Amino acid sequence: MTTSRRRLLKTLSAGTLIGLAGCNSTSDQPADQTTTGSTTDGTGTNTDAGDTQKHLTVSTSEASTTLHPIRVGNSTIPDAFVRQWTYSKLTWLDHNLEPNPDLATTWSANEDATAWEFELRDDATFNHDGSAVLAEDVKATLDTIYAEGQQYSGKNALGPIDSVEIINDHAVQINLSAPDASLPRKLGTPPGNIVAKSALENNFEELNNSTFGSGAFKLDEYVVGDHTTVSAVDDYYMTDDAGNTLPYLDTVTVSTYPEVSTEVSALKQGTTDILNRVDPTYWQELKAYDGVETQQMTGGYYHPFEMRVTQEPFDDIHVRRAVKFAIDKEQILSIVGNGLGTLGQDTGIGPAHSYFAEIEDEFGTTADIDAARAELEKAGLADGFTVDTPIYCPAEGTPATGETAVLVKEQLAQIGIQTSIQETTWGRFLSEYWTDSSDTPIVVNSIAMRPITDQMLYFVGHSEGSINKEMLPESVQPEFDDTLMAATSTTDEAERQELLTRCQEILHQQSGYVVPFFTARLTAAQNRVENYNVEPTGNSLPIQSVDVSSSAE
Amino acid sequence: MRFLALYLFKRFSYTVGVLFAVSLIVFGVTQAMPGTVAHTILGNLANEEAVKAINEQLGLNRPLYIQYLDWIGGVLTGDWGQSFTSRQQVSSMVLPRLVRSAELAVIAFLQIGFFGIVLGTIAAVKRNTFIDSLAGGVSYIGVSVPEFVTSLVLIALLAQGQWEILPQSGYVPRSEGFIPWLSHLILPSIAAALLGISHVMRQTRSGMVEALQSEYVRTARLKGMSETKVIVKHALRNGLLESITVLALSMGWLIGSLVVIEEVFAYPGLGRLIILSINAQDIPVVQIGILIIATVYSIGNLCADILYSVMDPRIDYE
Repeated sequence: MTTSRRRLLKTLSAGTLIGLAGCNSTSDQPADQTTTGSTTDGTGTNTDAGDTQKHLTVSTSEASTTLHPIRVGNSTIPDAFVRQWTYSKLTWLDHNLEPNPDLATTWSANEDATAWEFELRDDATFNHDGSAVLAEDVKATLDTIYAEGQQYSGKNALGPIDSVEIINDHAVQINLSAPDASLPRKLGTPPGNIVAKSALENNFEELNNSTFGSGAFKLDEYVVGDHTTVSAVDDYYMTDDAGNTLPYLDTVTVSTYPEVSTEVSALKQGTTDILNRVDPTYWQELKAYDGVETQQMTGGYYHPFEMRVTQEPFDDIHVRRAVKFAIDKEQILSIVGNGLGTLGQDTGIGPAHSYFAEIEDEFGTTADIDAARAELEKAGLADGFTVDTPIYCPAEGTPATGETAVLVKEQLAQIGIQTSIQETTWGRFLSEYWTDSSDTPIVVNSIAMRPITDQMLYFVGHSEGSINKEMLPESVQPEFDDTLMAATSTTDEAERQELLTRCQEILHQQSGYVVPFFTARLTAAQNRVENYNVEPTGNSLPIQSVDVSSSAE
Repeated sequence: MRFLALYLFKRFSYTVGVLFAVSLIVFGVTQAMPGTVAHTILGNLANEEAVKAINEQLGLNRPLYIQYLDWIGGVLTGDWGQSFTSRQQVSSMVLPRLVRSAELAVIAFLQIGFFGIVLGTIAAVKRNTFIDSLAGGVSYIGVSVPEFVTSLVLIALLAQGQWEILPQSGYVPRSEGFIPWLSHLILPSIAAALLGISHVMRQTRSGMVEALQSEYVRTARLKGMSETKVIVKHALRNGLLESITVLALSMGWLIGSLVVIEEVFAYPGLGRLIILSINAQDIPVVQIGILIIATVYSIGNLCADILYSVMDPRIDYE
């Protein structure tokens, strides 16, 4: 080797070593850790703040994308949790989905429920600057959501809000364009976060990665797609029954585990404290595991098979009925849901909803091939038919939709309906295959539960509903719309139940909707977690009264 | 020396050209990705009007060449733009994760280097024995088994059940302790290193076998030199020539393969961010992430070329 080569090699080696040393000496703290909030050693105990700090870690398989409290259109669970913990709403929904006072201490409606008055508490402050939460902040938030030309999901979810009037600093009147008896409940749902007026005016884009709310916690660290940590505020306005200031916890982290088996291991090892949604295949394993407490309740999350009633041949009621007869819901529940769940009635409303009605199910829960073939014969398609476009399903994000599609395909083949399956990503599913103008007659979708019955029915069946992609024929759409609006308007419980039952019947009998089952709400937590009350949607975790027993780990 | 400098300059220029071509490809592919970020942001409320408004706001309605020039200009001046979904600066999202991925890659690289060379040397010295066959078998498994399978097996063996000796996921910064930091890196780095170890081991064995059969090694033995000295002082230097280049190339593989490993181990690195951003149609992050991987790969290739040309005196730069 010549001298120059030797010298060059030495120079390169020295340079590499210096470069590596330089990289090692740069800050250990990655730049995206925006605060000095401490992390944990996996036992849930804050490692550098003594034994009295209480920390909780919640795991989820979804990744955070944005913290924006107004743009909640495609919210993921970690985002929904963090907003819930860092913002306040006028009301909050408990695990029974009942509204409780939050920023609003009392509320009342006029006779026909077209105007609601809310009295606000006078001790709530925003966490980012300590300013008081006033009526103008409530007005500014709702005005932003309902602004002309904007399409925020709150517009659909919070009801027919027409205008907001400020009565005084601590009172607002919300005027509705149509009667709505469940407005207080709706204002407690995720889009109802109250944001500081100044933030809406000056920091609208910053809301994606910072919080400007008055919740029990403030944002400490937000690592997109990985974890978010919040810490308790000192002057939160809520107390428990004994008068102790809430929350009990000092810090909470929500962490993303893309791999389900890793998420389960993390709970068993004690790295996490709550596993928000347990995959059914790991249910028995966790139930049998010491140190972990599991909870199961009826859930409202489902994967419907959807047929567009405006596209042939699904525009024929007999074809839709044939499909409904042919689909074996019990088989789908057994295989896709591992037997954990509740059979559906093709309405989007399950037993977890307060106005769920046990309607007469003429299609049954198992396949009735003879009845299905008879319907096809009435449609003039006795030999079956082939669907040219496949069943699209966002299986790359939600595998259960792919599994459901496979079973539906095989079940339909038994009556001569031939189809194929195309799995895709959520993004492509939403942008190409499940739009108002998509030329895709059949899909398998994934729908999260909305906590309020008429709200859910609106999304699913109303002509303006965002989830209603040509699910109801024109012949019954007006009846559905009118019946639903009447149900929303009435304050008479019996009348409301009757009207909402009728809506469910219309969907069951006429729609292109097939709901095989509602997934069971399965969750698990370390034994040391206390006051963890599960609610059926899976998108809410009221954390203010959750506690952990003292760390003797 | 002049010719060496010229040669290095040519290689460097070629690398720059490759990166420019990669930037065009990355930009083109991300533009051609089906779906739009507007649908990701709006969800099921994405009507035509709302999508148009978002696209306008994000500058996605501009001509493609303007978008490209704007983007590449920003890349070269350090302004990597904003994430479409979280509106954070792309640099603040990518750089910390790049550091974490680099930490993982470096630990894996050290394992590849050490175990690849040591095991390859042993296999060569014990050529045609049981040890050689065993090493060969292990290397076949290493190149055949996908990383996600290796990852899950490692978790099952060392992070679950009776043998919970290592954490199965996550990351702890070095500021919180060297041992916690390292313990979180062990399993993912082993999973990442196995393929590289197999490649380097096979290459080292091949090079060492040739070196051990050479005239100068025979001469060294005849001179009475101990076998250890023969191997370390004579054979290894020459036998490792090609292994060094494979090692340099493995840096690029590592950064790419970390995508899978980071998902399985919930490791907050660059690979996970890229997957998340692809799913969310977060184009600025995807573009930068892929460009960084391509850059690391290109630098790895460049280093391999430089090292090989410098270490092998038989190469004539002219």
